[in-house]
Amino acid sequence: MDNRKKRTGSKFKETWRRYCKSPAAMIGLIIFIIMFLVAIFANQIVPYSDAVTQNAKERLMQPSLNNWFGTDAFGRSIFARIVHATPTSLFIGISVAVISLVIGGMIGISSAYFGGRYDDLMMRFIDVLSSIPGTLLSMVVVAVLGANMRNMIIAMVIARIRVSARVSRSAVFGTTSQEYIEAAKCGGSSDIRIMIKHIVPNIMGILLVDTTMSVSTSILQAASLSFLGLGVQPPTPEWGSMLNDARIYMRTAPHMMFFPGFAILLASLSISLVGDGLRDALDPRLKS
Amino acid sequence: MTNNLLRIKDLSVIYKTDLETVYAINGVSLSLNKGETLGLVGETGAGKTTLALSLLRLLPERTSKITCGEIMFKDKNILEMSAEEVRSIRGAQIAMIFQDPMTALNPVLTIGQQIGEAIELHSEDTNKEKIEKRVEEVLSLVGIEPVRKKDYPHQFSGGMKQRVVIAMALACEPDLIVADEPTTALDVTIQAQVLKMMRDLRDRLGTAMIMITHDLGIVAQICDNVAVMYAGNIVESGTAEDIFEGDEHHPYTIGLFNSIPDLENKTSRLKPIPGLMPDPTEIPIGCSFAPRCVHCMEICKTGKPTQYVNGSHSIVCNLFAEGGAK
Amino acid sequence: MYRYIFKRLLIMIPVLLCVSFIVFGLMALAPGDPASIILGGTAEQEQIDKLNHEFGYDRPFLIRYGDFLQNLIFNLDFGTSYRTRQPVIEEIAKRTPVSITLALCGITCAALVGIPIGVLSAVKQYSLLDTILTVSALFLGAIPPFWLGMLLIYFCSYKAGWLPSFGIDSWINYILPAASIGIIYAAQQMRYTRSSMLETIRQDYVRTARAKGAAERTVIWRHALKNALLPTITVIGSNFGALIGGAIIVESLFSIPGLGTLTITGINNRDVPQVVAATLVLAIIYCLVLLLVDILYAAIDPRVKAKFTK
Repeated sequence: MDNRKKRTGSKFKETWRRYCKSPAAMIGLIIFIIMFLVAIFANQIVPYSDAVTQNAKERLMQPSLNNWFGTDAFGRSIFARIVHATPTSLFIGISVAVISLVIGGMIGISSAYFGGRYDDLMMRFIDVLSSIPGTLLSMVVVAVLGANMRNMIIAMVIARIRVSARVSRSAVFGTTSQEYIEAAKCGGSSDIRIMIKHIVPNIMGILLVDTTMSVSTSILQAASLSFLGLGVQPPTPEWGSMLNDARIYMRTAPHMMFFPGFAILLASLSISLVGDGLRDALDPRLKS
Repeated sequence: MTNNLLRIKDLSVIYKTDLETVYAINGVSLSLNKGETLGLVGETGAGKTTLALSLLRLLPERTSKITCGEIMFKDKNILEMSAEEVRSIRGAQIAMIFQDPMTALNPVLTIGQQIGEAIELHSEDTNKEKIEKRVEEVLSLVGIEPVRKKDYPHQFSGGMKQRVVIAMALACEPDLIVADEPTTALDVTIQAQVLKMMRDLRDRLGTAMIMITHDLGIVAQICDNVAVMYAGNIVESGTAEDIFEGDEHHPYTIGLFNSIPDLENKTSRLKPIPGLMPDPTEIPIGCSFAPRCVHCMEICKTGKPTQYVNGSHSIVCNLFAEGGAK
Repeated sequence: MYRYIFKRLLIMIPVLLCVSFIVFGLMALAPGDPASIILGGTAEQEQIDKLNHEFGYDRPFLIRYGDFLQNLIFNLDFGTSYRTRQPVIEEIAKRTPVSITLALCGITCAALVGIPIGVLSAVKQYSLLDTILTVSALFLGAIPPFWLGMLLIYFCSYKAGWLPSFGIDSWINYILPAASIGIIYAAQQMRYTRSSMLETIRQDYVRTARAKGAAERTVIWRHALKNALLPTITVIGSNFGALIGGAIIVESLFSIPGLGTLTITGINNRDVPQVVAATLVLAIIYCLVLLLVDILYAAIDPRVKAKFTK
C-alpha cells in the first residue's frame, strides 16, 4: 500500500526524481549551475578591467599565483578573460537556442498541423537550407551582415532553424495519437489556439531536450565562428577568439590554449549531459 | 524411463530492482507427462509468463533470481545445467511460442532463414539442402506455401506470423512446447484457426504442451490438465473434467467461471471478482486470495492454506481442509 | 532501386539551384565590392569602378545570376575568380579531392572505430570497460575540433616531432587533421551505436533467438547488430553536416588547401564566384553522402527496400 503511494506525485517531481538517478546528469547540472553563477557574478569574481586592460610588461606569462591562468599576448589576465567570456558564451548559446526554438517551432508545428501543400513547401524550403552545411551558412551570413556578436547570433539562428523545424514537426507526428488534434478541431477551437494549448504541451518534452542540446551546440558553434574571426570582436573576451589568439603562440606560450579550450569543452559537455539526463528522465522506459 | 516429462517442485522467483523486490512466483509445483497438454490459467500478473521463462532460463539476468526450487526435465534439473546444456535444450527439446507475433520475428531476416536457424542450431548435419527441405516441410505443416520462405516478416499478416513462429517452434520436433498466450494478439476468427492447427499438430506429433492463457474457452478446447494460478501460486489443479465438471473448486476458480458473460441467461450486470490482485512487492501472511474471498475465514488470514487432494484434483484452500467449513 | 537513385539525383538539381541562388544572393547583399578589396583603400574611385565593371559587378543582381547560371549549365564554367582572374573551376578541381579525402577519413574513423566500440560497450553493459568507454566517448565527443587540433599539433608535432602540422605534402600530413575530426566523430558514433544496440537487445525477436538456443554471440552479431545499425547509419548521414563544418575549421588550422579555406578566403575577399562555386561543391558532396546513406539503409532494411522496388 505504501509502495503505491511512493509512486504517485506530480509529474514534475517524478521527472526530477528520475533525473537525479543519473550521476552524469547530476554532474552536468552542477557544472552548469556553477558556470551560470560565474556568468552572473563575473564582475564580482574579477573586475572586467582585468580582462581588457593591456599590460605590455606582463605579456605571455606562465600561470602563477598572481595570474592563475597566466597572461596573454597583451598582458591581460587569462583567468579574467575566461571568467568574463562565460556570460557572453552562455548568452549566445541560450539566445540562439530559444529564438530558433520559437521560430523553428512555429514553422514545424504549423507545417505538421496544416499539412498539404503548405507542409510540402515549408519542408522543401527547409531541405534546401539543410543542403548547406551549418557552419558554412553561418559564415556566409556573418560575412553579409558584418562580423559582430549580434550578427553572429542571427546567422546561427538561421542555421539552427532547420533543425528545430524538423524536430518539432516530427514531434507532432510522433505524439501517440493525432486524434486529439482532430478532437480539438471538432470542438471548434481556432487553429492557433489548438496549436498553443494542445500541441505544444504534448511535445514539450522533446522540444525541451532539443533546445538544451541546441544550447550546447551553439556554444561550440559560436566558439568556432569566433575562432575564425567571424564572431565576437576584440577586445570582448570569448573562448573561441582566445584560442585564435593562442595559435601563433602555441610554441612559446602553450598555456594560452589550454584554458579557453577546456572552458568550451566544459560548457558544451555539461549542458549536453543535462540534455541527456532530461531525455532519460522524461522517457519513463525502464533501462534494465 | 518414466512417462513423466516435466516436474517443477517448489519454484520461487523474484525480480529485484533498486526500488523494490517483486515476488513473482512463490512455491509453485507442477507436473506434466509425455504428450499431455497442461493449461495454465490466470489473470495478467499472476506469474504465468515468469514461469514459462524460468523453464528455459530466459529470465533477465540482472534483475531476476530463482530463489529456490527445481525444474526436472527428463529427470535432469534444468536449474543446475550448464549454459551449454540449456542452450542445447532450447528450441530442440523445449520450444517456446511467445505472445506477440508482430515483434517476435527479426525484421531483417527472411522467415526461411529464421526457421532454418532453429534447425541448424540443433543438428550435427549442416547439409544446406536438407535444412531447406525441412524448412519447407515445416511451413507446409502450418499451412504456409513453402515458396514464401524467401519472404520477410513484414510481408505476413498477424495470424500468418504466428504460424511462422509455431513452425519455428516445431522445426526440431521438441518434446515440449510452451505457448504463452499464442492467440491473444490475434482476431477471434484467426484465433480459432491457429488453435485448431495447434491441436492437430499436437495430436499428430504427440508433443506435450503447456498452454498459458487467461481464456477458459481455449483451455476447454485443447487442454488435458489445468492449473489455476493466482498471485504467484497454483491455487487449483486437476484434469479438465475436474475443473470444468467437478463440484468442488477454489473460490477464485468459481469467480473466474462466473465472470464469463453467459450467452444463454440474461443478466443486468457482469459479475467480476471484486478487488484487485495483491501488491506483488509484499507477500501476504495468509492466503493471497483472502481479501477478495467471500468465504474468507479467520484461519485464512493467519497462515498459508492447506492443500486438499482428491485423486487428480488438488485445491489449495482451507474450505476443504479437515474440520473446515465444508 | 535504380529508379529511386535516379529520382533522388534529379531532385538534387533544383535543390542545388536554390542553394546557388541563396548563396549568390547573400554574397550580393554583403557590403563591399571585390575591386575595393583587391585594390585596397588607397585606390581611386575611378579605378575601383573600372575594375568592378570588368568583373561585371556593377550590373543588376538578377542579370549577374542569370549569366552565372548560363555559364554553369552550358559551359560547365563556374566563372572567373575576382582575385586570381583564373577560372574558378581550376582551384575547385585541385581542392575538392583534398577536402573529400579529409571527410572520408572522418567518416571511416567514425564507422570503423566508433561502431565496433559502441557494440562492445553495449554488450558489456554495466562492466568497468563499458563505464570507461562511455565516459571517454562523452568527453571526446564534446571537444571542439579546433582545440583538439591545436592540442594534437602541440603534443604530436612540436613536442614529439612525430607528425607534420601543415600542408599536404604526403599522406602523413593528413593524419593529424583527420584525427582532429575523426576522433570526435567516432566518439559520437560510439554513443549512438551503443544506445541503439542496447535498445535492440531488448527487442522481442532477440528473446526469440535465445529461446531457439542460439549462442549469445550469434544473437548479438546475427540478430541484434543488423537491426541496431539502421539508426546508426542514419546518424552518420545527419552528423555529416557538422563534420563538414568541423573540417572547414580544421582545414584553416592546419593550413590545408581545401574547399573550406577556399570558402573562407572567398568570403573575406567578396570573391563571389569562388564562394558560390565552393559552396555548391560542398553542398553536392553533402547531398551525395546523404543519398549514399539512404541507399545503404534501404539495402539493409528489407522493409524500406520493398518501398522502393515496387
